[in-house]
Amino acid sequence: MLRSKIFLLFLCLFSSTACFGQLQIAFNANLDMELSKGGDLSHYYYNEIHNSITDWHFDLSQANLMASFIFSEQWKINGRLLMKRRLGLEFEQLRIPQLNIQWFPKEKNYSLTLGRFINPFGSFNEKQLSTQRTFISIPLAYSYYHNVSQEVGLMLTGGRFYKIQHSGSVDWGTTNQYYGGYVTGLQFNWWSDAPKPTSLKVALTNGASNIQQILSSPLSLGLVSRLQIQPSYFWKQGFSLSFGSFMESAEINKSISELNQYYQLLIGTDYSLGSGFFSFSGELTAAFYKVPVFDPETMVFLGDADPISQRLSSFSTYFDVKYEPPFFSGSFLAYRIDALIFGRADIDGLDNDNWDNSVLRHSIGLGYKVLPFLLLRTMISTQSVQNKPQWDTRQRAFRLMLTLHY
Amino acid sequence: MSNKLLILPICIIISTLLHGQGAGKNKIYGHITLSSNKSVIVRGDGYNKDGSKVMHSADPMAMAERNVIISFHPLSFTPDLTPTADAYITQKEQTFIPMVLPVVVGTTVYFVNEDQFFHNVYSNTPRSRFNIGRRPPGNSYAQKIKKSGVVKLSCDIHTHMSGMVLGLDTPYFTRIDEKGQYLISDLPDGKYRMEVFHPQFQTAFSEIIELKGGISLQKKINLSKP
Repeated sequence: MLRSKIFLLFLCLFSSTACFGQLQIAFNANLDMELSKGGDLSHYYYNEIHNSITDWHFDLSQANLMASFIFSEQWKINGRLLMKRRLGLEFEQLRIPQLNIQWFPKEKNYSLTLGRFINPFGSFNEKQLSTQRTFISIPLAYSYYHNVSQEVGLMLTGGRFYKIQHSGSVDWGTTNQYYGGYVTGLQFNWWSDAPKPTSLKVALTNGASNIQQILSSPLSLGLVSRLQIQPSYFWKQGFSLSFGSFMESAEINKSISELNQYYQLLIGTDYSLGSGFFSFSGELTAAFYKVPVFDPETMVFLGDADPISQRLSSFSTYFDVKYEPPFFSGSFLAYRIDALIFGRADIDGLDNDNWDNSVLRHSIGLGYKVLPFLLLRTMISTQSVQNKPQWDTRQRAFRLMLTLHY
Repeated sequence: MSNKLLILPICIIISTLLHGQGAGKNKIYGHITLSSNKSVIVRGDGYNKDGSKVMHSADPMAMAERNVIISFHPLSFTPDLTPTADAYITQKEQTFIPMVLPVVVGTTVYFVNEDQFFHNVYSNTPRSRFNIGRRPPGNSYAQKIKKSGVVKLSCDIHTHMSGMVLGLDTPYFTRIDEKGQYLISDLPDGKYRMEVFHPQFQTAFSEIIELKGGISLQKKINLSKP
């Protein structure tokens, strides 16, 4: 069904050639193949390796076809067709993560984008393709599932916090930011090149930055913005803000009349510095939530008819160092330290505890541009989880990725 | 004394004949017409990440139309390959200017950053790989071009930037002017392979020609994408 829709969509776009004599289609493509091995406690939601394929595994990872339908200098449609592995397993998931129309007024330095586009928050979202990423794994803030769920809010029982099962499956919670990196809505984009490049993006979206759905239900609103400045020739700094509803209606939360009252607020800054053959980059993000609290023992929300609201916070940061040896052109060596820290949940009658276990990850990566169209990257990571010393070396990961790109 | 004066021109004539070159300097000129047929499907500049327009210089030397290079490769003699003088490529407004720099093999090309931010220049062209790292504004970096052929240039920081150095095994080359015209007036007698390079079409035209007797030859060429 989805494939038929995709086919129809592209057919419509191609047939529009007849209507617009000047139409030009610019396209790029890439294909990732991955060899991986993970520790025995690997999990797709924790280290991006599914626990059923922790042994050596080689497979296609994802395939992308990106196209821009350029109608004129002022109008453009951008689309991305993605096929990837579902939860790191079968290579079958066909999606259109990006589809938007852009308007560039003549001789102005702003544009409008309508549709599904890259979430402007932070600097990592815009690095959508493997050719733009130093590491194969994505930072914890975008990939690590924690104890806040889009369907039940904060998950706890007996004063402890852990994953629960409802609606026939385990609710693994959600990430601070949607790993896919896209939002639906309308974006205003302004830029200035002189004397120092500056840009501002403001987007009205369909919810918070961690929302995964193309269309949220109930219809909710969010605001995401990012200002990027360049204080010096070697330094770019971004400041981001995101606020929006993130809870999705489901059978289990139908007792809550107003899901839009729960929100996620993100405040972040990102930076990129460099000199010679070294570059340094990273992000620092503070996440704040207002959520209901769900008790899986009774399978009801605390407060029942009038659910209590819990305020939560978490902080995440990653820092990348990359070195490109001049004597081995096309190669790089990189290190990343990545941390996700959870604040305390102060709920009456329960232990005053962090609402999830903090995580620290170290990664080392190597890469080499074998040919102008072929990139080879590999990485090793290990992570430690608060209160889980027995997990220490059991969520490590080795990944090697070959990327063909056009 | 008079004997010495006689010997000198004889030596010059003999030397010229040994090199297979006639006494005449030939001239070749013409006009290159670029096919106006616009391709409907083209390779993109990379992933459109955020919708902001990519900075690109309006300098004519950044346009493909002004980066068509006509070269004459001697087949009947071996030319002196003196390195090209003033071989500079600037990085300005996130653009390599000129888009294509033709140089004689062995020339040292200087990359100059004229923007107010970092630039990098690297090439992954097989056998011509190099990476100069991040270079601050005003910084110049020298790179010797050791092989003939195209050396593709990129900037690791601004991935939409692309340029080329065209390493040539001949000193006889020129670039078309703003009207699409070209002129080379100092070609020695001999047989040549005439080539036209277009940054999008690569080697778009190749033909063997013979020049002798100081002729003036007009050659019009119509380029279209193969």
